[in-house]
Amino acid sequence: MELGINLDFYRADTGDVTLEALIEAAKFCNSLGFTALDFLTSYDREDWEDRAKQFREMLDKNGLNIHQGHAPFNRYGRYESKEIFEERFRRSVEIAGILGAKYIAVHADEYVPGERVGFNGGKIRQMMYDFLAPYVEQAKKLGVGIAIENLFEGPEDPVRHRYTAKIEELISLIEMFNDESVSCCWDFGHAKCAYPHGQNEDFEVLKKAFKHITCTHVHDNYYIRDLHLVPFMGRINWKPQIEYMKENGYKGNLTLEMVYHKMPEDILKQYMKLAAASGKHLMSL
Amino acid sequence: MYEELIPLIEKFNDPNVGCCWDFGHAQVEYRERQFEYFKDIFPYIRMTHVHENYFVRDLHLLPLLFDEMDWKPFVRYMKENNYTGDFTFEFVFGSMTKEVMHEFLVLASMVGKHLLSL
Repeated sequence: MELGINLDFYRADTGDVTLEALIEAAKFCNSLGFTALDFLTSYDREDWEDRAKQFREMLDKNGLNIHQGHAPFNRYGRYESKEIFEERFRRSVEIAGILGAKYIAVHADEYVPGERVGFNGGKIRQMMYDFLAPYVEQAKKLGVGIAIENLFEGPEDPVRHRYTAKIEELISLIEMFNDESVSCCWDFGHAKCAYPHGQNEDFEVLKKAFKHITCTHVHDNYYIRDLHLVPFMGRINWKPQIEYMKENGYKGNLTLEMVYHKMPEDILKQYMKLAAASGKHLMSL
Repeated sequence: MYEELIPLIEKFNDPNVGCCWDFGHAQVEYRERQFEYFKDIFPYIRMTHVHENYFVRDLHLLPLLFDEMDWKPFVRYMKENNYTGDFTFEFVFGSMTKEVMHEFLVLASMVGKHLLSL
């Protein structure tokens, strides 16, 4: 089991960031103990393929490892059209393959990209299966597994609208593929938001999904807000969950997924050190 | 509401009774109007509780995690108007080990110094 982090929290491939800067960022993360990175180079650029290949060479030269990546999602209408979104998704899977990632995390709430529809679980499951199936095949050819992530719904939302917020939906969709390359990316923070009651409701659903879990998004929160905090800054009860995963032969990594900051560089570096200390303690549980 | 706070403080008519301005609570209650009310009550502020929020909940977060609050006008106002009290973080949530807590406190110290330099 290795400790990882999403590199784009520290340095994202946006704007005019150079590959050299990205490699330095990866080296910094590695030096803190994050040996399995979660990262994809940009899929929004026209030179996306060459860029990914160049980055792969630099990773290999520096002995660095990309373990997993994250496909784009369009729930909030980021992309101008369904076609653009689907092309970006395709590119992200290709990039994952080029970079040597074992898994790419995907969201399964894109039943109508950029729009909300009336909630019919069975119909949505079929739509998501149809949406993901071509990418599953594409990923398999590249040696990459599709890992479907557990999601959650906002606490103020009285109406169901987000598929895979319920554990039964996530498991049902994974098992519909009946394909060992399709697994679960367990998001601890999302699980706590979706199952916040008592100390261990989220742990109970982890146990249900466990046999499918191949990779993780690790972050903490409280008050049913998806805060993406460093572990132990929130209210997730980590010990029984990590112990359970170890005792039951979990072979993946613990990969922090940080999202929010507006810190200057020197303070951000210290936040990364905090993340590393927290991650190492998590691994030791 | 701060309109309740000022009359209560003034009712004591005692220099020993002042205001502890809680930035996080004010952010939840007043949002973008906080600075306006902060200036009104400033003569009574003797101490502070410094923290930030997100999603309009009293989360007692370390500042600079979320893009929720512009600290510069507050810090500048305090300096320009000779605030002599302290700038005190108030954290509530979390369960860190000694090692993790050490790194958190270093981080909090850096964040605090950065805010005070604004």
